[in-house]
Amino acid sequence: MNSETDHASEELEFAADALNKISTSIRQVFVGQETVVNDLLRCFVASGHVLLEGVPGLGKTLLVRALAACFRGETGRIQFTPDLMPSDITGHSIFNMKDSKFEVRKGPIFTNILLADEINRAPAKTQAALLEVMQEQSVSIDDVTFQVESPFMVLATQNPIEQDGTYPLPEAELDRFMIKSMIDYPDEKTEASIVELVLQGKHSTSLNVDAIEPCVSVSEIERLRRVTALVEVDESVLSYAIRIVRETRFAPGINRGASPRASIATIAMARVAAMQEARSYVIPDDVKSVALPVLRHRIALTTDLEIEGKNTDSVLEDLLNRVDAPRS
Amino acid sequence: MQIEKLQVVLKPRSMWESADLGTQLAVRWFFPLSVSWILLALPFLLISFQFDHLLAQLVFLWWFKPLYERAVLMSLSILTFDGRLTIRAILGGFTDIRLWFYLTIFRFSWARSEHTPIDALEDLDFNAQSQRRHWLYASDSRIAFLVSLFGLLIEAIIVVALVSLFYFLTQSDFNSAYAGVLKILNINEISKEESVFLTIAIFIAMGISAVFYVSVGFATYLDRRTIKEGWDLELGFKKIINRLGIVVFGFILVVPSVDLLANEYGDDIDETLTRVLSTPELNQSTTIRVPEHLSEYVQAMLKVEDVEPTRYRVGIGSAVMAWILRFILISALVVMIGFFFYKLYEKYGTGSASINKGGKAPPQIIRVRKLPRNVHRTIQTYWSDGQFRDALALLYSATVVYVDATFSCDILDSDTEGDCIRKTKNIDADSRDAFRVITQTWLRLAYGNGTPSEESFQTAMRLFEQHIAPS
Repeated sequence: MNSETDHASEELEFAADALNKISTSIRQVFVGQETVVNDLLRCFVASGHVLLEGVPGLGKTLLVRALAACFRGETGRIQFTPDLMPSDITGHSIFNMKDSKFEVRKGPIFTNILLADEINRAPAKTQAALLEVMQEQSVSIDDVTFQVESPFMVLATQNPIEQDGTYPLPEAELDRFMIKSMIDYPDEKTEASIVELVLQGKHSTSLNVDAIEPCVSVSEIERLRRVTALVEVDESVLSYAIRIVRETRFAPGINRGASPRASIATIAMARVAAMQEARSYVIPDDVKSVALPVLRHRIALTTDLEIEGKNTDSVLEDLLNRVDAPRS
Repeated sequence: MQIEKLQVVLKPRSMWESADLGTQLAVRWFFPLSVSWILLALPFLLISFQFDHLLAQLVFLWWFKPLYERAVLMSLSILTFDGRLTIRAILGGFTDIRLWFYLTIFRFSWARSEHTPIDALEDLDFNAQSQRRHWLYASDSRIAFLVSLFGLLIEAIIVVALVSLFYFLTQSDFNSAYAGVLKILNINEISKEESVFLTIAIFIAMGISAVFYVSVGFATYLDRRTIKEGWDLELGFKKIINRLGIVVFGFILVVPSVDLLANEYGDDIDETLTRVLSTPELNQSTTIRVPEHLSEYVQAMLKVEDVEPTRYRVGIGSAVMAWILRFILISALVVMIGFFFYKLYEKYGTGSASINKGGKAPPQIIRVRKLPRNVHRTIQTYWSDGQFRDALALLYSATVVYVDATFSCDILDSDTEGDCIRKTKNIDADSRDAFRVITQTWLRLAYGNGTPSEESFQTAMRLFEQHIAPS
């Protein structure tokens, strides 16, 4: 019993340390946006996918490359456009004249971290090409199923402005993103630090991701993901998370509530949050801290609230204020 | 007035049937009649806003009602006789001297709806108008009285409905809406904005009721003229003349003199007339149809024997109006009851504050839990009995309640342990540290199944007694 406890403690300490290292490494080149980095990291360890919303030029690509650089992982980038085809993402089979047989040419999806840039610019058919890989971690090309490499994460971005000619993500796909993180303009001090960092680097116009030394290996990423299972979730905390998610289904002002997948995602994210503090158990604060990114893309506000200019975050904050925290 | 172009069927009607006809006229031409009313009344509304006191505004608006109604009456008479509706034609009705009498003490006359058509539509002098009223209505103004009363009632209902609607749509909860309605109806306490709204509501109500009020009066007038002057017969003859005009003209050309024929066959004509006048059709008794339950009274009053009790027949227009009014009132009642229960459910049913369209939820201050009389002893008892979770749950809950009560931290039921610590960062250092230690002890046990040692528990209890809730 004691050895098990010791092992768990060791694993948790390792996890907290590894997460801290990754976070520090990313911050070497990606200044500010602590919440976004934290959300991304938690989601990555929780084996989820991230939908990132923000205007262009805020460092989304840099963030992906920085995360991949931390474990020497591969990154892929697909710029979604209206004429993008599903096979441009997944890959396709092509007839080899020399060998007289079909051979599969894998698409950019076969990578560790895939940046799906401006995902809402492609039609639903193309967006749906990501559904299988996001859920099953596998890709089917001409009846042959291929497993993607682990760790795998899709980081999709969408632009909150310039909505002309975009295709809003279908609910089924939105639900597959574990979190939606909002990346906003940095404050003045942070922006000054960014500019200063760029000027110090070799490249005068961009931050140098090569400066990041890999701090964890791929196997350690896998180990991190296994450690999350060691984090205990008390019944009262589980109940608290479920009550929050259920409240979205009945709350006035919300047209469509979150699915049970949201409850699973909340707990998974909360476990990583606890792990970051080397804690072997989840507390209600962990749940509350991940509720916004987990739920904000899973609910739809009623038309009158949208007309009034209310956003999902303020509605969710009110909702969190209505769900009693466990105290006994 | 071109009677042959009349757009309604004239026939002798009971007073209720003529009221029904008036309602149908109002419904048929509601839009042009309303527009004519608004065009004349709107300047008075704007002028009324110059008065500081609401009562003065309302009295001013009300006092000049005969002027606006005159526009409606002129429009209605033009439309009824298939005339061309022009401003000049409407203004023609304002030359009547008696119109200005209605702006004096005669403003309080109940019979205005009946008398105005005589004044406006018949080119008579003052005395002739009075004689004609007596002759036409025979001092019977029952329908005019009832129409005035009904109009007042409708106005009051519309005003209350508009005010209620406004407050129920603008206020977030039932109590505020109800208070608003009560407040606005007490004209001494309302604000400037509310007084403007109330004036406009009364203006709208006056406009709606005026169309029906004038139309019913006009229909009654038509009916009285039909009965007393045989307008229906006149109309019939005029139509026949129009159709047979050419034949008659030819007949006159062919026959040298009608008088000649009359002289020659005078005796025969007398005989024929005597025979016709003695036919049963022209000597039948009048049958008075009265409502069944009133038959005895009518019999006694009129001192006649042949009173035929009958069921009163309501005209289709009145029936439809009555049905619509009933439907509106019942619907309004149902909606109000539903709204009331919805608000009750929203407030108490879910056990939580409403989200209020995404607005910030009202703070839900931590409920004062039922703590045992002696918290310290109860916690110790739980602990010594091995009920560690209960002991620490009570310790933590009591700590939150005492801290919230002592330092007014506004801790909510939805606040997690971390939120509570953040809210207590400004309290004195000893209490804050004590709160942190107790919270950490509680967290380890509650969510990590880490039962604290005896020493940890006693430390937490000591801190509780020293800094949070001295026994």
